[in-house]
Amino acid sequence: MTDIAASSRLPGAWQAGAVAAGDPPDVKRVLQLALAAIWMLDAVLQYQSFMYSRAFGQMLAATAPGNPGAVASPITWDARLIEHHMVLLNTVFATIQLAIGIGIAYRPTVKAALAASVAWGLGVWWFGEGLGEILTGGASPLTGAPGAVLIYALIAVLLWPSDRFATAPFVAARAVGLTAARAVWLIFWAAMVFFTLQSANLTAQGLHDQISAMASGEPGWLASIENGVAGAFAHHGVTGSVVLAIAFALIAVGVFLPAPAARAVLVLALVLAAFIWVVGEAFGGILTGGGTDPNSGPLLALFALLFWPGRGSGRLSESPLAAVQPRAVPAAGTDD
Amino acid sequence: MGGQGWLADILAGVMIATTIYCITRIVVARVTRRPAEHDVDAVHAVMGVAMAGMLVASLKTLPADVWAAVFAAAAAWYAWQIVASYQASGAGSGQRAANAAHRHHHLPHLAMCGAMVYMLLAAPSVMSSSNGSAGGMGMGGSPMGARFPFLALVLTLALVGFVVWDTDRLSRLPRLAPALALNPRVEAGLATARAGLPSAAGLGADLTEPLDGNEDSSEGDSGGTAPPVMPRLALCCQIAMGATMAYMLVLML
Repeated sequence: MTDIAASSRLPGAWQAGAVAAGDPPDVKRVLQLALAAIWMLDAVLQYQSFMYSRAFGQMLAATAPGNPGAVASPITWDARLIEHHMVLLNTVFATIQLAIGIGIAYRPTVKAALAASVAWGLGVWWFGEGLGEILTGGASPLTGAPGAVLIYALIAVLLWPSDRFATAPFVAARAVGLTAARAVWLIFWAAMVFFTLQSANLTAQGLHDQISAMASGEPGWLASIENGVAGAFAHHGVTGSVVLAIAFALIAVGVFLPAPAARAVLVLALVLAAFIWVVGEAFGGILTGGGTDPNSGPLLALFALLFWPGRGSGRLSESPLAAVQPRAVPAAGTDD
Repeated sequence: MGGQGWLADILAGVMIATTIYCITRIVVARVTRRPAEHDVDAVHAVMGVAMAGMLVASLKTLPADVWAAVFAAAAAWYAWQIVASYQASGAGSGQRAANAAHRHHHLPHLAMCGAMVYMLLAAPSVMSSSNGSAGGMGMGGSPMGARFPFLALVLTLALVGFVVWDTDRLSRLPRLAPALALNPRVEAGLATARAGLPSAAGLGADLTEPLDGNEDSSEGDSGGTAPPVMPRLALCCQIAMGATMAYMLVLML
């Protein structure tokens, strides 16, 4: 490969900028941008009219029942406060999410924005999602447990722009190390197994009821999908939950397997994330005009991509993202 | 689903400012004979006027069908640019990379024009019935009830993606060289040069060639082409326009 700095007729000052602009993006950076895009989508959804109505506060308050008093009381207080100051507080919330999205996308502010992503994610997990209902006994991974915003926070930590472990086999381990990253993965998916096997999800009509409830307010084609899948699970809720739990368990151990097997398990995770997003979450209810966020489906997919085994350098071409991203020109001075 | 009136007013103001900026950029580029992207600036200027009218009824200038025809034509122009870059991809790896750069440059503009056509055609009844201080497309308060809401979601996701991508590019561009990533001819020429094919025929064959018909570009400190007109601000306008459009699309869900 010819070094452009030596061969082209570009003016010197412009060469540097051009090379910087044309560098192949690092997988970690691409994943950070995906997180930024989801935050930005969150922000845009938060500016919807629905969020400026009393329904938003009532929706938050509905996450309190079933939680311990110490968890539920602040949620109730928060929901009441929002109902009294809807315009101001919702605008602040939406703007914070917009700032987080833009901040992650803008390189000089990426650390501050990722830190804010963790803090805001944990805050919303409590005050906005009632800790994902994990303490109520009714949490279902199919409908978003243990909470989409908790996954935002996890991903933000794993995507921290530090490469202390630059030779790690996947992006998630580059900042926190292989052991810690695998532990996060194992605990998360083991929790998914636990929640799936809770008694509330082990009833004959459990899955049917959860899925059919999502059809309300959706466009006809999506409602048809929801009702069709719900019908398939009618009276087979226990079997469905057990199959789902086995799949989650397989995924949990996937990152400890050799790379080819790990990739197969991660593909399973991506497929399940898509199933959860479309069937279990109906795209987060976005198409009803009342969705506050895309829910956990896209986050689960992003979480899985963080663990996609590469060959060490973390370049885009080694990731499944290479299939969906522009084929970048190699950086100046590198060989083909 | 309608939006907040005050927010629509603010965004309409931003769109008008974007229009003024784009027109200014075209004029300054002509007067000072500096490179700029006139097709992009012209489409953005028109788009700003149309979007302001969609957000605030009192700023409405033309019927929705006319605007839809304008943006359909612009979308066809960008689509043709992309197709042309595919058709020219039979050359070596350097040329392919150059054409890829060309395509990636035009994709966001194609998506934005497509989103405009969708918004103008998917909610015509709302647009024609709106009046008073409410938004031109009901974005100031009345329900939208658009057709094909899933398409609105897809376009929203695409625009959010481009906004994030552009924001990342904004921070990657040094102040002295931002236009190189904005102009496909320069990007293409750069890619060609990287592949060891300087002066190859086709897109961006000559990196020091004046852009947009500025035959005698001035020799600046960089020793070659004159710096483009306010390229970072141009990218900021594109980001603002993309984000506003994503918001407008979400209101149609």
